[in-house]
Amino acid sequence: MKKTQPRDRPAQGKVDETFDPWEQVRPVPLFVLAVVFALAFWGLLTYISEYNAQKRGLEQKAEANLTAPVQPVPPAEVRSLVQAPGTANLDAAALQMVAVGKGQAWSCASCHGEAGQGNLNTPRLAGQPADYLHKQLQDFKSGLRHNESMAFVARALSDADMAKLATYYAGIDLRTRSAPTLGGDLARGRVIAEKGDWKTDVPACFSCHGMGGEGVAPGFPALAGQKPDYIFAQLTAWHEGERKNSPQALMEGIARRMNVEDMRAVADYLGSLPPRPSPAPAQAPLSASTP
Amino acid sequence: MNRLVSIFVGALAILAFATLMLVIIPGAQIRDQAPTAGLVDYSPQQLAGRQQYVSQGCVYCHSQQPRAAGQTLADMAKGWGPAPTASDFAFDRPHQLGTMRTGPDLLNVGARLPSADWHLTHLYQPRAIFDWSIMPAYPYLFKRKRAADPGDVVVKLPPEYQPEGEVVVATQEALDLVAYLKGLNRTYQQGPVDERIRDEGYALSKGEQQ
Repeated sequence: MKKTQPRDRPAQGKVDETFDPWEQVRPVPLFVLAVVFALAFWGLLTYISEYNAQKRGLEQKAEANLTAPVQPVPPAEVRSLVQAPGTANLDAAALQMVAVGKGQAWSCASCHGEAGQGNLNTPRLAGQPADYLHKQLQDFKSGLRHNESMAFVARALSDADMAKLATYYAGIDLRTRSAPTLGGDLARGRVIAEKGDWKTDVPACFSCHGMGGEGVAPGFPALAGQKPDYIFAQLTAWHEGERKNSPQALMEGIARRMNVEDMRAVADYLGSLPPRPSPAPAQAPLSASTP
Repeated sequence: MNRLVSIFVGALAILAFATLMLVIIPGAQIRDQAPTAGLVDYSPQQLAGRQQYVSQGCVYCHSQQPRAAGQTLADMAKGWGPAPTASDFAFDRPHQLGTMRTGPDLLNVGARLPSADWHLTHLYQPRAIFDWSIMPAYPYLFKRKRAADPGDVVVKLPPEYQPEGEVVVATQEALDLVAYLKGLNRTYQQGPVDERIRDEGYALSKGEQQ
């Protein structure tokens, strides 16, 4: 087979087999090499200094551990119960359940706080309508409301126990608010709480839960001062159909029509309200983070 | 392959650049960060519990890094608490951030589940509370006794898990671990600096809003 050669190509015999016209020897600039090695050296130095600092820190900590005596944990039963302000008709059995527990049930205060103040998605119980709390405990026991930990507790309680506990927590007058933790739009939250969003058929929270979100016995829980994380978690649970123990399925429908940003906004806003409407709301101190 | 040197140097340069951007600069940014105001160093007992957390391999199923609202609202809806910043881990050496979410995030478990009794029951037998739980039980952190001695912490158990004629008491290891779990709480108010350096995912920054 005869090959046609381009005119400008040199004859076959003269071509250097190893010659590659497009590849030239281009040595790496010394500058790049210097940068690479300098970075590597810097990294090494950083690593060594970090390593030494960490080693020193661990040694110091180990020494501190040797010198500091290990505190024995007091028995779970020995708990100081802070007397919640404004509690009336203290029932010995209720106090026992709150502070120590009953049977398999852990004590209420161990999760909900010594004054029933709650934290994150563990709700605040102080000042809730007694009938509401009683119904929730019954629903936990019957499985109508779904929460494994609370079902565990409720199984150990009789109906009379539940009524006593509900009365106890309803009687705690705790005036702390919750700091907004969700980063929601407080102005939007206020609009939903006070006016609702009628484009999406969401009524104002205050139209059922009281003019200041203070709750309306027997069925509507207090929202003012409740933990924002809890309100948000419950709204999403209603929204998804995870929680469905509301009278006449009210909250199920409302939450289903809310979008997630509105839930977040309204949860932050409601938590920041003072638990009881008072002439000067600024008096209520903003709750510090719970212990 | 007769440009082996340049390929090698190029690869090294890329590696060095990546190390610079992903390791050295972030390291320089956070190495001198003070612990967040409100963050308390672990007590000796909590440190012992932390050692249990490490040796039991909790990190293989539990993360310690709730995501920020700009990334997802799912963590928030579970009550896992605010997203942390680097300064929140100032006393964690080594950190236990974890990557697996087989179980729930634990960075704020001390805030949402502060009950020592709950943790003891749950560590002894998770199925006593959550019948669907796939978490391993840790019965070897507990002892069975005929009767509890003074100072013993008795684990509260439902009848079906209560050993016949015996009580279950917690060992020091279990108590240490619970002390550590109760100490996991980063729900204090974070300062403006922490807000600034927090990873907010795709959320608009404060300046970009509106």
